[in-house]
Formats: sequence, structure tokens, C-alpha cells
Amino acid sequence: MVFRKYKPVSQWGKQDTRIFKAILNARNARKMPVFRVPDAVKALGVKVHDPTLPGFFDSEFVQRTEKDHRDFSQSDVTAHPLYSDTPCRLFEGSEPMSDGVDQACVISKAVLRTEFPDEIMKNALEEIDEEKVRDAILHGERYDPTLEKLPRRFDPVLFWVKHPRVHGTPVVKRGNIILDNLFRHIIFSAIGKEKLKPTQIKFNRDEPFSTTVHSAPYFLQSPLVIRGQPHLTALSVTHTTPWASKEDVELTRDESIASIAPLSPLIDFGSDHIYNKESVVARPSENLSLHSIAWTREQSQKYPWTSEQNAANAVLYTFGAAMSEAMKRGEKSLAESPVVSRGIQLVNGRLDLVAVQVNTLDLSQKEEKKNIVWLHKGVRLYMTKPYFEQMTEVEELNMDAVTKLSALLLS
Amino acid sequence: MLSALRREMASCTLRMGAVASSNVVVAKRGLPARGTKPLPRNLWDQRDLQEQTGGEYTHQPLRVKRLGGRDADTGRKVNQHIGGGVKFDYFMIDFHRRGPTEEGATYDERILEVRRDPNRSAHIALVAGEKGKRWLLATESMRAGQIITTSGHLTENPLIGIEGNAYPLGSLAPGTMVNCVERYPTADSEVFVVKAGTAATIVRHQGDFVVVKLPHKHEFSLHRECMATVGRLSHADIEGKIFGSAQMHRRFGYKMSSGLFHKKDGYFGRKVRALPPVRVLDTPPEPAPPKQQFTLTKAQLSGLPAAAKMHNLMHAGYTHREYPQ
Repeated sequence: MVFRKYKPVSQWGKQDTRIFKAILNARNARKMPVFRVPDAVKALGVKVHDPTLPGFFDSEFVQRTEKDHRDFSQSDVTAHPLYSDTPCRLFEGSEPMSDGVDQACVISKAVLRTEFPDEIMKNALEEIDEEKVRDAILHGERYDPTLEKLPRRFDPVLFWVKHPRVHGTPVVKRGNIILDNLFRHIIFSAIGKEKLKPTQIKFNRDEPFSTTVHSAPYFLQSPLVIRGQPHLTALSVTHTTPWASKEDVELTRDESIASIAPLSPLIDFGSDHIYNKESVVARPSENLSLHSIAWTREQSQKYPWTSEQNAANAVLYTFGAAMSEAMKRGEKSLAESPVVSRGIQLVNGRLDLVAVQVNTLDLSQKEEKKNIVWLHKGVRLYMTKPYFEQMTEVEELNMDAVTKLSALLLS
Repeated sequence: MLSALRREMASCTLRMGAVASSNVVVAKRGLPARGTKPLPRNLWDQRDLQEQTGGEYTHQPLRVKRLGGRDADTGRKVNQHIGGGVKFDYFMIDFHRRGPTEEGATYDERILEVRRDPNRSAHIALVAGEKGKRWLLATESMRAGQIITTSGHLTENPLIGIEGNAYPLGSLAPGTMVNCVERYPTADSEVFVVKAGTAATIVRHQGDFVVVKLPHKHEFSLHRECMATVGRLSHADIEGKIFGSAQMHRRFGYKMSSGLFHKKDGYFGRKVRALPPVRVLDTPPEPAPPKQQFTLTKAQLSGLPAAAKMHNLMHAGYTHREYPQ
């Protein structure tokens, strides 16, 4: 809290009233010059209405102004420039996927790999300074001076207690600072070790994206819209190399996608008439390809998501980002060089590390080649404290998570 | 659906007959001052629920206004010892499970979660299927990950139902324990048996009707197309649980009932009565007529007939004769 030495004076007495009345009387007594239509307005030939004339408010001019003014008109959703008659199925990360990662795989027609390939793990930074990582985490958790009002605390055991509201850094902002720092540390270390060119990757912060998928079997009638605002959007100057070779991609024809019966994969999507029909990406005019997105999720205090649901969220967002890049390049180009996008989600000190390789835009044919998802879900980075407590030192830091993150980013 | 939601709130236990809303306190904790039949508890504001959801079902937790035992129209207390406490999130329960009527076809759902619900005694289960997610009352052995099915097919030979699955009453063998039994084969009827640990028993089949014995041993003859879930409701040990303190009792919205001692009269004591005959519920009751609002004059309020209906100031010397100039 801000320290206040003196209490502000809140007295209000008759002396104040007398002074204010005197000021008001003086102001009212002040004579204003008579208004005359300026010569410049006269020269324009604009018709000037005098509101002091009787019948001014009944005049057609006033009536028409009231009718046309937006404050008097009813809000009409169909007048929105992005309105579409066909409602979309909307994914915004607000509703958890009921069946977790399997459901996300069904939607994206992807096969799941739970380990990163060995070639990718070879790219990891060998020597990462643990102190720098600790400092990166403490920057968000301890050093950040933000004093925003934090949400109301809910204790599931002492459910009746009204806790005092505390001020500090919101959870999402803490996580975003940590992600920023980790990205910077990894990228600069890689540049220092000449694993990466300094101009290879460009960053955009808090850039919204929206992807519209029209593919069968689920999204032929009403498209799937995946939209979000990741904190970090990394764009690469060159196309990233695919994680799976052509032979591996061909082998996915024989693999089956997880079954989520009797659930429908669509039950967790919302519906909206207002959406972008085309994809919205960062820096659309520049010839860049999407490298990765990173964001932080705050767990609900009452209804926290499971690690499966968090991971499914990360997979779907990354799939949406990859699809926007793949649709930009086109189906033919995918056969030669599939699109790989990476997603990093930080939830409660745990990282969901995802890579999605889009091999085909056609999500209908189950026998054809499929997309591939590599996922490390819920990798503990450090042990968090509840948002109303102050972290003084980083506990249970897991450097293995940073290694995996570096492998993901530098692949 | 709308009226089902409306009724869902008020019906936590069996209610029979029309209950006249009154402006005086007539009930204590949902039980009338005289008699044994529970009254509407007026715990949640049904209109607020209707406004929030627009009459549609949602599985999302809701913040519904609490009435605190007050009449929604007049705002006066109709239910004593109810009010205050913590406002819990409200979960809408779907009491009407409907499935395909073709033979062998079922509507399958997976149980995602079974949890306590502070708003009702039985546990509730979140299930997901082809049509979406919904909350059901959980039966005893429901666990996350199980598949439950719903069938609307009336079989020729009665079935031994599987716990958690829903069937029409006409398909179930006598002796089956059921819960959430629809009163009429409509999707907006109230249901019998929603209290934790209870179950009704199917007694016999009679043509188009099935006789069901409710937990309080009264027998009802319901249409065989009425849906019911097989099994006993969960959280049977709620009877053995205690709030632990008067304060905790108040947090859940129950106020203390101590007061001036009244000697028990003849209405108290054990009642040994013969069970009533089987009641047949064949046609749904007519919906209640819309409420009218009007104001009575003082003369009308007096309730006196024509000649006696004199001006209320007549006793004070008021006359109709004209005043002298």
C-alpha cells in the first residue's frame, strides 16, 4: 500500500459552503460577450440555428439530429462490420476442453507425441545460468512494483471469510514478465553462442490473432474461430524446419487419432456471429513466418482447470496459430515444407510446451496424413505461492523445464 | 423446459396439492406449522435464474439471488428460520433425461466429475455427451470416467436396469430402485425422489401405468413413459453429518429456531394412519393462471354488503348532506 503520512482533510463546513457560493455567484455575475457567428463560418455558408428562438426544439433539425444520433439508436448487432449470418464455433480459451488433450487432437486431426524428438533436444542450451533464471522469476514475483487491486480471495475451506483485498502484481502480468525474461535470456544466450542470428527472430507483444478454419467434418457448416492475444508472438525471418521428416509424416496415415466417444469434440466451443472471416496475424505486410506464441493463464480460484485441460488449451491455441501460418502458405506448399509452430503456456508455475506441425489443411480424411502435436504438459518450472503472498526466494526451481524450453525455441 | 426450471428450484422434496401463498409466516424451515407436507422453501429467486439464463439450460455455475424464505411477489416472510448465510454458486440440474426410442439405441454420456452441491443434499455429477454437458443428480456408485446411457425405448420384457442409466418406467422390472422419477411423461414435469440417499421402488405394472412406491411408502401410479434413473441417490450419509456449530448452520442459510416455549398440542405425536390408496397421475395439472394485480378501495376492503357498506368516516359524524352556505 502507498504510505500516507497525513490523513486527507475531509471536513466540509459552512465556511466552505459560503466560499463556494461566493465563487458561484461571482461566476454567474460575470458577463459573457454576445455570441456572433464568426466570419469564417459565414463564409462557408452554413445555416446557423439559434437555440434561444421559440420552437427550436420542435424544429425538424433537432428531431432529425436526435433520430440519427447513435445515443438514441438501438444497438444492432447486425450493423457490426464483422457480423456474419453464419454463427461460428468459437474458441477463446474460456471454457476447458472436457476430454483434455485427446479432444484437442481430434479437433486438429493430430497424433500426439509426448516427447520432443532427439534432434530437437540437441538444440537445447547446455549451460544455463541458474541464478539468471531465478532472477528472471523473481523479477515477476518479487521485484515488479505494480500495485493493482488483486481479485477477491476465495478460500474453499473457510468459504465464509471475507479476506482483505490486497494490491500487487496480477498473476497474468507476473507470468508474462517471467516469460519475457526467459525468452530474452535464451535468445541472447543462443546469439552469444552463435546458434541464432541476431535478426532471425522478431517479437510482438500482446498482438491479437484470429484463425478461421472451414474444414470438414466439423467446421463445414459453421467455421471454427480460434482467437486470442498471446503476450509474446515470435516471428521468424525464415521458414522453420519441420520437426518430423516426410517419412514420419507418411507414417501418420496408419496411426489412429484418440477416440473421445461418447463426447462430441464441439461441446466446449462457444458461438458468435461477430468474427474475422480471414486470419488476423501479427505484421501481415512483412514476409515473416510465425515461430512461436507464449502466454500466461490464470487459474480460477473456484473452478481450477486440470493439467489436461490446460494442456488442451495450449494445444488448441498453438494449432490455431499454426493454421493461420499454414493457410497463408497454402496446401501445396505444406506438402514440401510443413508448418511448425510452438506454444508456451505458463500456468501456476508450470509450463505447457507444445509444438504443432501442420502437414495438411484437410481435417476430414482420417486415412490421410495427419498433423502432429508434441506436448510436454505441466512441466514444473518453480513452486508458486498464492497470489496474495509475497515470494522472497524461488523454491523448487526445475532447470530441466528451462532446458526443454530452450530446445523448443531454438529448434 | 421453462416451467421445469421454475419448478426445479422449489421442489426438493415431495409436495402434493396446491399450496396457497400467503403473506403471513406459515412455515418453519420448509415444513408447515400444521401438517406434515413440505412447502416450497423459497431459497432461490426463480425469476432471477430465468433472467440470467433466458430459460436455456447451462452447466455454468450461476450466482442466483436468494429469497431468504420470502415471497418473491410481496417480499414478505413466508418461511421462518431461513435467510442470510453465504451465497453459493447455483448449478442447474437436468432432471429430464431423454434418449432415443428405437430399440437398442442409447444416448451415452461420460461422467466428468462428481462433486458436492451446497444447494441440495445429493451429490451432483457433470456429464458430457454428444449434445453437450449437463449436471445430473449422482447415484451412489457414480464415479468420474464411467459411461451412463439413456434409453427411451419401452421394452416388451422388463429390464434389470444398470445403476446410473435412465429408462422409461415401463421398461424396468418390479423391485428396481429408481430416483428422479418424472410425474408425467413431459419434459417440464416435476420429479419425485431428489433427496440424498433415497430411492423409489417399482411395485407393479398395470397397463399403461406403473405403480411406484416412494420413500415415504405412498404409492403412485405413473405413466409408463415417465423416465427414471436407476439406483439410489448419493450422499446417503448426510443424515449422520452435523453442521458442528450453530454458526456453521447460519452460514448455510438456516437461522436458529429457539424462542418462546409452546406446549405441544394434539397435533404433535406419532400418527398411525393407513396408507392412502394408490394415486394415479394421468393428466398433468393445468398451468396456474397468470397473476393479476389490482387495488381495492376501502369500501371493498370492508367486505360489508350493500347497505352496510357505508363511508368509513360515518361513525365520526360524516354525513352526505350538503353543508349549509
